[in-house]
Amino acid sequence: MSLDPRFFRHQHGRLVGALVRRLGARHLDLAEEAASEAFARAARTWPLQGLPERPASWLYVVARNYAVDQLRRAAWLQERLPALVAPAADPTPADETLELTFMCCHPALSRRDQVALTLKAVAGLGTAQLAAAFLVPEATLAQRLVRAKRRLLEVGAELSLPDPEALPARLGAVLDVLYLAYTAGHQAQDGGAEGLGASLVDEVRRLGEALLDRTETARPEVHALLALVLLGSARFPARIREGAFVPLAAQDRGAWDRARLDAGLAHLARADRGPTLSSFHLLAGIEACHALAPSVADTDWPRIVGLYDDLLQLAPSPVLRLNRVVALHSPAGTPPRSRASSRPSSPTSPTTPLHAAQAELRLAAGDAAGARAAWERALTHAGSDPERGAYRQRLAAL
Amino acid sequence: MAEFMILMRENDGAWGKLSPDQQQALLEGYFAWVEGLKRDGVLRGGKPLGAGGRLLRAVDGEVTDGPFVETKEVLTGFFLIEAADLEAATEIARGCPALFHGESVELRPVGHLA
Repeated sequence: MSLDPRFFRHQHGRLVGALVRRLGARHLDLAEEAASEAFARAARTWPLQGLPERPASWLYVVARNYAVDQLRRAAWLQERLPALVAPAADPTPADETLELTFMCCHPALSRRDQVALTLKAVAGLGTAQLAAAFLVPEATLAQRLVRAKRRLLEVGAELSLPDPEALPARLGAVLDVLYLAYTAGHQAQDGGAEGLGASLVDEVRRLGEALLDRTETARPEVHALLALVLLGSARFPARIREGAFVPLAAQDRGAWDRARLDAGLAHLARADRGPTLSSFHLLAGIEACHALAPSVADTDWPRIVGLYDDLLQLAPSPVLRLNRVVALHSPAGTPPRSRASSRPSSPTSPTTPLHAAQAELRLAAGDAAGARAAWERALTHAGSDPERGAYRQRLAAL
Repeated sequence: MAEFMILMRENDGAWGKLSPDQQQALLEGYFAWVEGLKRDGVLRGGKPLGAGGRLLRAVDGEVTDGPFVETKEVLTGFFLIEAADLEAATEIARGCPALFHGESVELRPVGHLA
């Protein structure tokens, strides 16, 4: 058997998109059910009969037939049925993953629900995985998805790319959703769920690349987001060691994924070709400073502080302010009172707990007792074992 | 040698709660299991069962083909295997991947009941 290990996951969005196209947007639920049913039949058929010549077409035909059966069961039907039953020379449907993504990122939904629905319906992640990524009980997440789909129905959301005038704002929402999914991937990795973290990042990358494949959505800010995602996730292999989070200063830079860094830098180069400067450009710029630096001491900290200043202008936030302060007090940060022993944690991680940052700053200022107290507070508030491991190491090193 | 049927029943939509990744892992489980059965020469056949269908019932002497089968437990497919006895067949059925995605497996001897 030779199937890509993510074949089902990748087919999921295509099947759902193709079925929603033919059933109408109000049948997103049935489309998801039909995709799952097609996978179930594949699992029971292929092992006995061998892989079909075109597995994707096989899945589509089975999913479509299942949907037709279900609609026949329900009594309403007539108008949609012909579109489904009409035979086609090639049963492989067009790829409507992107249209489905825009539908799931409909402005009538909260950002939180957009993320969950996109990852479920388009990226093919399970409710258990999503619940783990967003730290909510599975039942809560399932309930949110039900409500989100009902809302799409109420507002008459359609499976289509937005009109040209609405496109920039709608694309912005899709990119925000991808960024949040990427951040959730980071958190999953910090929490010890490395497989889940990698899956989330893979899906963000795949959907970002799908945006670049279409002329309407191939815009510089998409390149900027991909640059940010690739440059940031290239550090994944070095971020966890023996179950503990490894801060940037202690990471083995040789373990960073070079191919990913290069791909990220290539996207960053192409992100410049446009009039818009998004926060993704600036965040990617910060990531690039780290990617290009041979060590923490040889990092272009003044430039990083400058990029944070620009970010704060675009979108002020307490986390950014905190990260900027950490960057400012790094070995080569501009006006440090004590630059001797500062070891910043990853300044771009939005999860850097406040107490840990305080500890780093106190240490940088030569206040070991204050640093110890702050580490201990961080230890009490840590949400995962790798985090706790990292704080214990820092305490031991004091 | 006797023939046995492995009947698989899904409970309460368990398969649909899995992610596509998990579903694909189970597909690979089925491939490996069926491969093993073929290698051991004990597989006689098998088929998946569709979800639709119809339930025929006689009510007061009259046969009705009542709407569709609508139960919490649905038959999803079967395998026919060959084994020396029920114990040996049970050993084979234990490996059936259906057991690992929330289905129950029923093992029944086929024919020759004497």
